[in-house]
Amino acid sequence: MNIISPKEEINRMVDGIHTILSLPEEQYNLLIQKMIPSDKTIESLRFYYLTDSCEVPTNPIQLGLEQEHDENQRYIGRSYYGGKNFSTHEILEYCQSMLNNYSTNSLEYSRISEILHTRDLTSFKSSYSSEKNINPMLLDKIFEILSSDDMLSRFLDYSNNTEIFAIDGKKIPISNYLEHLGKFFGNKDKDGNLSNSNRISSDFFIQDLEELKKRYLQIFDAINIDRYVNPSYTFSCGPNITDNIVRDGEEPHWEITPEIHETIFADMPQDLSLEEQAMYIYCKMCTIFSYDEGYMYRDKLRKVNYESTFSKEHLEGLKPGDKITCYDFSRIYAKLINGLDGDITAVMILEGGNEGHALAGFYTENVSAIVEAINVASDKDSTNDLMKAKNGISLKGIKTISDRLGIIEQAIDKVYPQILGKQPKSIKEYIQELKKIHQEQDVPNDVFLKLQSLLEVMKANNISGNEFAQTLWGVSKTKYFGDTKLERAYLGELQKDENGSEGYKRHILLRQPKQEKSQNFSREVYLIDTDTLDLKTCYEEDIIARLNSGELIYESEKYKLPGIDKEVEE
Amino acid sequence: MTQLSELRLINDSNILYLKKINRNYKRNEIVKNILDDETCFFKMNKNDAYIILQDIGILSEQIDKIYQKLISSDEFYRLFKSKKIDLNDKDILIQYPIYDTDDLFKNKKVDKYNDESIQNTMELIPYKESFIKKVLNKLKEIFKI
Repeated sequence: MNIISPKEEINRMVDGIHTILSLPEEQYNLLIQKMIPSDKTIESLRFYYLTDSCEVPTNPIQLGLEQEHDENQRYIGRSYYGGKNFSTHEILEYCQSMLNNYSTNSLEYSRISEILHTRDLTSFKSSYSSEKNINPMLLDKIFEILSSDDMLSRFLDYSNNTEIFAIDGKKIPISNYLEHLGKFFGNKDKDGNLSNSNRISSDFFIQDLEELKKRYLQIFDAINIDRYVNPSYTFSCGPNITDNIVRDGEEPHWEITPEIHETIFADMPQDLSLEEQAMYIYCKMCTIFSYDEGYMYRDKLRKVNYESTFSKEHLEGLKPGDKITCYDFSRIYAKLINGLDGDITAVMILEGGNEGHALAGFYTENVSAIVEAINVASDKDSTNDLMKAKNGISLKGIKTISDRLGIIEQAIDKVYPQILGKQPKSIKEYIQELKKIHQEQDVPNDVFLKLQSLLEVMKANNISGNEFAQTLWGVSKTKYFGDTKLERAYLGELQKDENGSEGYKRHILLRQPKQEKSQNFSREVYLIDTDTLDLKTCYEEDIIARLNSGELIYESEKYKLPGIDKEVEE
Repeated sequence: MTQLSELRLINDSNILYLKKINRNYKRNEIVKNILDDETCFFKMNKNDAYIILQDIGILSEQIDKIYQKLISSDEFYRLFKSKKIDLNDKDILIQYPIYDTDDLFKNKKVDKYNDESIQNTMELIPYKESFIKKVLNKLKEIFKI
């Protein structure tokens, strides 16, 4: 609602309020009607002057409460802009302070009282109750808790005071209270303060609001209310803005195979809490499935589970021991968790706009966490939990969003050894184990096989190109190739595409310097494609011939192998 | 690629090589399990770290340099900031002090700003035109350049 004052007399706030107080009866009654919150809208007050900028200056000038549409629904406002905006709370707070300026039987006093009443606690409760379809008695109880230290202390000891907080004679869970408390006041910011931009703080004027907030903060600190104040807790949004959350029932129905069900649940203790069950299922899944490394070659292999696409046929064919992708793991995990009895919910999180990776998330009343058994960021951790669980190593794929009491860690500590049949090993234990094993002696130094092994590992870790070249150089400085000091050079192989344009493919040429010469005095060399990491063995004369033909060129004069040059002839 | 990643790579390659030639790779598998823990070198003493680096195949003359990098304070702070190191973890043998940046300068006294104090602390040297510049300017005046 726009309140238009003629010109600045004192300041925008005071002038606006004075204008309201001097409105004609009809306009004032309309304003009061609009101030009362409805189910759908809560009006704000905006104060403008006639001298403020507007977008439709040709429309007629209006003073007081600006009417926006005429009887023919034609827009007759002026669309003012600029000037400071005040929240309803600020305006009403100022109105409250003005009461002392007027006698109690004056028109101004009456109007101010009436305006304050449109946005007081009673109005808030009525509006909230109507909008959310909540029992008004529950709201009364909530504000009783927030207004009384005695009630607050009883609330903080809820389990021993359930009768006090029963509604209509029925005991209700504390979560019913926490849900609404969280909606009223929200989360703390990084400085530990509550926001002033939520509805109760900005659209209403409630006496002693700060006292109510202080008591709320006591509840916030004592009881885990995160579920009701943190959107990430219930995965209203993913960790990243482009993530897509898939909830139970949003994909077509499918059934987990009985074999998987049996393998996971057969030995699960019956007395586990919900969080312990969630961790048990996660750990167990990590032991019974392996990672499908074919996913590394997904651009060459077209398999349905190498993408986020749902496939009932694929999922219902999975069995324990199968190789799976992140999509499979997340779907199976979410389905198993959502099948548990109790207040626990799981979702699948598809990361990124291209849904190139999948995680799962779950939450209970006490905790919210993300589980990522298969991680893509190999620079952070080169092994995933599927490998770790099979070797009894501490799992790293569980990330908590909210866990005030450390429940997740305790749950893992309890269930993981049960699944492994032993405790996960510490570094100290591994070292003790290492010292008991003798080092292998007289291990042959087959450079070709070592090179082959190194290239396979690099391929598995998606290392190629210049990073491969640098890594190879770093490895060659260690004892990996024994005492052999490999000589290296960089070659470019001429390539022509369909359009005839030329380019060069990079290769690394390696040679063992002390290798005995073959019968025709041409030594064996290794040629590695830095992009595909394909390894070929050939002879020096082959390279010389290709250099002569121009098919290969040296990348620089600095890195050439002596004896291998297009000018050299045997 | 990080130092630790490179060590893992070499060790994995060793495992694969030993498998190909049908030799025992148990030691390397244990080393693999150790290296899986990004904080492993902070959880072992120097002698044990040297044994592991030798097992991986690092040259003797390079071991100390690589070891120092693996347990550097930079690496410690990086792991701490990414919440991979828990200061209460009893397994952590090598630790560096963690400072709260708010505490670092809490005792520093800052004088209230005023012109006088600024002038007293700053040495203002007035600009003096050099003799040669004066001569050049005079010449310009004379010849009306």
